[in-house]
Amino acid sequence: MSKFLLLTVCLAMVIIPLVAARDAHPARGLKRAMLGVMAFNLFYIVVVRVLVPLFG
Amino acid sequence: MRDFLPRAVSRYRVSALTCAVLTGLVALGASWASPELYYAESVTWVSEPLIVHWLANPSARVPESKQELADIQELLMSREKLVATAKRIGLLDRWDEGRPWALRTKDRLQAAIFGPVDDKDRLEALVKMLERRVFVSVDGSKVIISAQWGSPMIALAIVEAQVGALTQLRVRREMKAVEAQAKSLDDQYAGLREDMAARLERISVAWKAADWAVVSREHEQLKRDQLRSTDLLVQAEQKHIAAEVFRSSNALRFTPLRLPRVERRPIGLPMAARVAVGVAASLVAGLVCAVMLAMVSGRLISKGQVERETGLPVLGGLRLRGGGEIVEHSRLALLLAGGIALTTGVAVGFTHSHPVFSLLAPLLIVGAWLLWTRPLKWPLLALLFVAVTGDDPTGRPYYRVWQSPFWDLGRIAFTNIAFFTGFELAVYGLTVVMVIRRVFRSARSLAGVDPVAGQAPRPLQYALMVSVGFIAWLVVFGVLRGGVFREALWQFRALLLLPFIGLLASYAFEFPRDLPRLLGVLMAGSIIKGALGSYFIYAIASPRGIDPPHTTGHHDSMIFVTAVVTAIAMLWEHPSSKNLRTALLWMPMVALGLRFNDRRVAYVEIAMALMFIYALSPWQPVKRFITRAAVIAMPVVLLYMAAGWNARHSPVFAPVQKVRSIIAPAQETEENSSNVERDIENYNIVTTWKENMFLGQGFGHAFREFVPSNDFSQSSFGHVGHNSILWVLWIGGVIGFTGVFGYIAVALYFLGRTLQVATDWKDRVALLSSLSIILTYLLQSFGDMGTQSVLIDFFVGCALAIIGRMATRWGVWRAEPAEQPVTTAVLAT
Repeated sequence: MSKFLLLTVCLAMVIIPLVAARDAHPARGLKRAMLGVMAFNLFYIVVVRVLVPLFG
Repeated sequence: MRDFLPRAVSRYRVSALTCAVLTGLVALGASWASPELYYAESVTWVSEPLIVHWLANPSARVPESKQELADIQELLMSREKLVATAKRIGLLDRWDEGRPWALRTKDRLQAAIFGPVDDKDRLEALVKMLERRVFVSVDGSKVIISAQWGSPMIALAIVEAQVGALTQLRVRREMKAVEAQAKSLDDQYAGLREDMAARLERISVAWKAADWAVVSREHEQLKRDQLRSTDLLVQAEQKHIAAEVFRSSNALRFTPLRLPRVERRPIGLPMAARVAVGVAASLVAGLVCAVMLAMVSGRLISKGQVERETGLPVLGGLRLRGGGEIVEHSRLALLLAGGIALTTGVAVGFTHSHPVFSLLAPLLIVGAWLLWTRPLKWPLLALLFVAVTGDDPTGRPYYRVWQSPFWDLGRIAFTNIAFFTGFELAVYGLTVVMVIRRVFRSARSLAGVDPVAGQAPRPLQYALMVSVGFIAWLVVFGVLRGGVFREALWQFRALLLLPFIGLLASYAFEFPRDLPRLLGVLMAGSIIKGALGSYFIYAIASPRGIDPPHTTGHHDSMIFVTAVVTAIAMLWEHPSSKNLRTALLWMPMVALGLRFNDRRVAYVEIAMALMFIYALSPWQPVKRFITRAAVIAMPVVLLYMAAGWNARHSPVFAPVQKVRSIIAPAQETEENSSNVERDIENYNIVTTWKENMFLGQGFGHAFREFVPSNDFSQSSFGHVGHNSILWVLWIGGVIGFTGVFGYIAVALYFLGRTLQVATDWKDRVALLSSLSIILTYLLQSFGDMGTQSVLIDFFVGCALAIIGRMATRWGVWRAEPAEQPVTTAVLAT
């Protein structure tokens, strides 16, 4: 489980931009993709500090 | 172009002749100024005279020559031995012997300006020269000692001195040790005898005093001492005999197979051949000069050129009487001609007409010219081919049991030459060419060479540049925080190469026009690697009884995974008989390669790529069929998995065991042990990262070993983590990680948009393969140092170029995509 939690950072880097690519406006979509990836990377700190010890 | 060469030579005959003559003159001068080297050699057979040892001391162990032979090279080439050799043959006094006039003149000038050279410095220079020009090799029991020197007598003296040192090696090393042991035993024996004499005295006194307790105790001790003294005496005698045997047998150990002798002629070709090569090189230089001048002039001199420029056939020609040479050379042309003459002449002269080096110089100039005037995609394709086929020595190819024919190519490309790897030199060199072209060439002239139009969208280009900037920042940040730059260099160099390859490929390739070329390289590479892997297993490893855990290199999984996914994507997007035929011909060799590469992560990468392809594809007939088949087969598959989960040795359930080894390996298996080691390393990296989760540590540091790991040495003692994703997070923190890998998110965003509008199946296959490459990169990075591989860098760089160019082609970055039909496959279904 802990390995999967650690892997989420890779999956997020793939899935978030692919989902954001559905936006009708190219620039807005790109902004959403980048902000989404950045937000997840920040959330990843919580994953590593809280969730991995909890479920690992 | 048949008539181009004769016409170029005819038009520029005077210049060509001048260049050839100049080349010859420079070659003569350089040859005169450079030293001739003479070769001396001796071959000595080293074997232990067993009979001497057995006769002298049958119970003693016979010393082995094996270890000594293994160490001979190091011992004879040690600094201490070379200094001794230099002093023994009086090299300091013979400094000028065989030294060419140019170097003697330099010595005199140096002495006149800076004063005479100190003997210590001169000895230092001689030792360095000896290190370069004395060679010791061991072939079985034969020791070959050779030397190259400017004077034949000195070359011979050096070899004789080294042979002398060889024969004294063991006498000096081992016999001294044996003699020291014998002396130590003698001393112990003498000391014990004195103790025994004193003890006898005490017994005598106690006897007289009738102190029977003391008498008894001392008597017991005396008996023990007696036994010990006998033992010491025997040991000491054995050591004395051994020393004597060493001394007497040493002379019998060496049999000269070839006594030291020196060649009468200097190294290299005979004089007549030298002259012939020199003349040939001068003529080639003249020829190259004429061709280059004709090309630089921009004039149309051949029928082919006229036809290409006008697009019309040339039906006839008019020969004018007295048509002569065009002599208005530009400065560039004169510089070029002089450069060709000078470099070729120097190469011929200094190598004393070495056939390869003599012709290399003009060919290099032609190569440089072609590089400047031809599209950059060709050298880039060549580099990709080398990356795919060459053996990466750092990836332990063929388990280090065998070297494939591509070993040397790989060694030059993947390992350090002149402070950088061959790939680094080539990629950064091509980047410089790209920048210079863009800055100095006009837009019209540039468009005639490289596909400037249709470049990747700006955000992707910026993201790649931002990655370079973040890596640079992390180097500075890390070193300022006390990191070691040398370690940082090994950490960031492969990571830094990727954005450069991405930018280069995006600039140089034109898609979809160049897709077949990339596919060709991928096909050729995967088939060659698969064939080499099979050859290694069946012809090399199996006959020797070796069962290697892998064949080709660690990172070659990228080749096989991309090949498998590309073949499947071709059938998925366009299930034609041609694509089926291609897949059937291609896949067997790739499957073999994948099997022998034997990397569990490769199967995960294929599965993950196929899952994403499935999820991103519209509901087409193949997808419907597969979905239905999967739903129907699901219970059977689950039953099969459940039945085979614990059947470790059944070939029927081998696929289940492979899946298990990835998800939850059984205890006491190699896979489980490997997983545990990786978990420990991940824990160590994450715990070190917690110290600064936002900004990280920067490059040049090592993560700490909170829990001891057997793999710690494999990670360069904490400098490089197997999990490159966590490793970069630790180095750069969340901010640095986002900056370094931001281009992946940008590229995938464009890939997602392009897949929605692209309707050409070839474009879609290229995009899906690119997606697979990026997924493989991320998984390989998560699993096993994916960011440290130049091969992977090339794949990801090309994938980024495909995504970028395709995004521009399908107009997804424009506000209103208009160029191509927007009727998406998704909507169509």
